Amino acid sequence: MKYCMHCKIKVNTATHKCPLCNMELHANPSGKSSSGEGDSSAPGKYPSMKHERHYEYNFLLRLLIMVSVVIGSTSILINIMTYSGDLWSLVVSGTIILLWITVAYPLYIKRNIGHFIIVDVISLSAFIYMVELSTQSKGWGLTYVTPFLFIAATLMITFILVIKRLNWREYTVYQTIMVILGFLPPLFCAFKLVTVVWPSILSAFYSFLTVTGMYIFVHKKYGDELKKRFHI
Amino acid sequence: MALWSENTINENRWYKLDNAAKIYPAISSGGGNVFRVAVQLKYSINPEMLKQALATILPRFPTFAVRMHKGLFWYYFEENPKEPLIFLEEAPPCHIIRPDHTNGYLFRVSYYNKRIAVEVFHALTDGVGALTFLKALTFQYLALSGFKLTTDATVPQLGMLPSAEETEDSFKKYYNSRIRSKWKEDKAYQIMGTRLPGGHVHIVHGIVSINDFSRIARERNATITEYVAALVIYSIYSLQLRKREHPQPVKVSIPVNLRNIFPSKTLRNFSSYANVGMRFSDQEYSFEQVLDTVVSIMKQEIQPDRLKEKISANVKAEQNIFMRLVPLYIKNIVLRTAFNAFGESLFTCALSNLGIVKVPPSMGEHVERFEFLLGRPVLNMMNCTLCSYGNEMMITFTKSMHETDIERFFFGFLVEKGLEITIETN
Repeated sequence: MKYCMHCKIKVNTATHKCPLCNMELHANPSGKSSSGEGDSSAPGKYPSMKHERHYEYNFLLRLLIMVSVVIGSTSILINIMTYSGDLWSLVVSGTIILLWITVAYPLYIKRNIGHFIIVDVISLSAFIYMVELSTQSKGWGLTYVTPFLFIAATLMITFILVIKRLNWREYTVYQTIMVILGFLPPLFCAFKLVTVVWPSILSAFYSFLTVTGMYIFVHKKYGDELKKRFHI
Repeated sequence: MALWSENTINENRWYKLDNAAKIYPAISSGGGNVFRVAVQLKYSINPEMLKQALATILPRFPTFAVRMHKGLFWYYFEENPKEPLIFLEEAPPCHIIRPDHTNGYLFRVSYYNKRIAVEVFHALTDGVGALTFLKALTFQYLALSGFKLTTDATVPQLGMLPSAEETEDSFKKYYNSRIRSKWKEDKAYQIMGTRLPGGHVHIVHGIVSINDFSRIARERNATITEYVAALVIYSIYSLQLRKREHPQPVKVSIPVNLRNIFPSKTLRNFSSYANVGMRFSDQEYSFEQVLDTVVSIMKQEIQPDRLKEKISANVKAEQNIFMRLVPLYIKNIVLRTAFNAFGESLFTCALSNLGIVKVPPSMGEHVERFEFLLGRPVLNMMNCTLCSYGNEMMITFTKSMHETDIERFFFGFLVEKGLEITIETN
């Protein structure tokens, strides 16, 4: 134990300077213990701060972002300068964004597969709808691709749910979201966005089957899980 | 021997966050809102034994044995089947608790030389709950080490089943929807200083005799907490506000343990706070003046009616149907914005007193002292904690600023009053 003449306090930390006034410390006048420095039994000591690495500088990631921005913005610029009724640059930038969402996002962000399936399905549907809007070929995306994507995704999540029993809780939520999405395509028909009705009906029907299946096989657990997730 | 079997837990048990806890997940992305209680034993800690002790007591504390999940509207706690881990302590104290490092748990048990520390994310519990957990853990650790201990009412009984009272949200029990709150808080003065680089924190402990301290407090008819609060305010005034008119009051936010006022045995959050402070004009103030103001404000603030008003305002905000129906993602944005606008800016410094820690005498033989720390403040420059054990009281400043003049003034004042002080730092 050391003593600061200036502050008139005892100091019980391995240091030469007073933590309060930064003056030189002296041996304790009462002389009880003077080992002071290196006294590992001195209570209240803390591990020292490690030099923290602030963040890892990922050059490849930054290069890819720069390249994407350059390509995307260049195509938009050219498209605007030479505009002739066609918004082809939307397809170019859309493709770049889609690649980031489907490839880079799962690589860099740690989430569960169900999350990625849903993100991919929604972004893919949105992308295809945008391609339809900006090109001449209309009507195929919402009519065929979106409903079948929804069905495929629902089926995939059901599949994972059956295989990965341990982690079933997480997947019930994704399954629920997918089922709700599955009921959306009939709305496209109602709003006259699509003219061929059967794929949309099929999507809703498949959602219905999935819900029924969940209810028949696991309704107690499933209900409990939903209660937790959706309590207000 | 397997210490932990994943089947021991019935995963269907889940809890809503209590009223006070609901704010923390939204505002703690920066790593705040972790506090810690620690015990300094007389012997070095054996990690294997500590791990075993933790696995043994955890089922007794169901509200600790949880992980947090996001629901659509609110977060919730769900029983965690994973094995609880222990850690060799790493600097700085109270750094962010990352569930991916702790197997999902929202507390961290660590050891360093002779110390066992329990660091807790505030959404789980308050100081009283954490201290109860630490005492049970230490008791079990010492028992496993082969000491003959006899228990009494100061530590929870392990054999007993956890009671519903211990897991309840007591705020809900004592709120009254008809009470209207008409309170408006002013923003408080913020200490000027040089902020330490991110993650760093200065900790200054001052150890005094509790008898000497309570003697000087009693001379002025104040409690220890009031005396320390007044001295913190007076130190800030003397160093930064003397002879200066400042529109913002210097305020100290003092958590109030509601279990002392409204009967409750909950081990979750059940505390409110009292913001006490005063506004300084350009005339000279004495310490006695500050202390008298603090004592009189404190008296009003801890009136049951006043506390009930605060509880009711908070519970009503939570139970507002519009608030409930907003998706969690948006709630978080709203809560974060509100907290940044008000939150810490309503006080200059937090001051939390854990009180006198009592343990069974047979356990006390092996205990050097108890410690209590708050994490690095975000907007404020420092906070202060008090914790007493045996005949010592530990006054701790956790600071995110370089300058040490406030503690120097603070402890210097106590030295003038004739107290003997021992300082320890990190």
